[in-house]
Amino acid sequence: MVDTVRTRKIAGTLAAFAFLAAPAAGLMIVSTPALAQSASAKAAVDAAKAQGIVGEQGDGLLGFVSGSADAATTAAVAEINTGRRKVFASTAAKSGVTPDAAGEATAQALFAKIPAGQYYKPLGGSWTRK
Amino acid sequence: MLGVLLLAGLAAPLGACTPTIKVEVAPINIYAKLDADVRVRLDKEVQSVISQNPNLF
Repeated sequence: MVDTVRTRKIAGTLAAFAFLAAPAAGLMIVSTPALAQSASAKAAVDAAKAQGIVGEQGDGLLGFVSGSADAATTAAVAEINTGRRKVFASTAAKSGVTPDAAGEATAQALFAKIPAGQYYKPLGGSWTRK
Repeated sequence: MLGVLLLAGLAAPLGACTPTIKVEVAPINIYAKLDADVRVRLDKEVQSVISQNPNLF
């Protein structure tokens, strides 16, 4: 019985630490100068785009043309999409629209810039080669 | 007892008649439904955001 109580206390303490650690980890990610990291992510994504693995989606985010990619490309796409979501949120706040609308507006602008041969996926549509 | 049976008898068809409402929220065209002036403002903001974040776009 004493053991159980002690175990619970330890578990409770661990949970409390986890609770403290999670936001700290989040803060670390935010405060890390992400520029250098993003540059490599951008390079990886650009290479994947040129190979037809990654493309631009109608929601303003990057997606995988054939559904998936290797771990490095997946991580790069996730990193850029995280950054884009933040940008959409701030664009939305500045323009008085929803983040989804900001993402869609960004997609419209990005679609226009896609080089021939690369892929894009309009909302409700399928992957299309430009 | 009879009342309970009657109630049960009434409740069953009522339950069967509960309408099923399918709510489909299309993710499409939020942008298209924006007011023209809002869209202009948004497009300007989007252009500056794209040029300011070369590592994201």
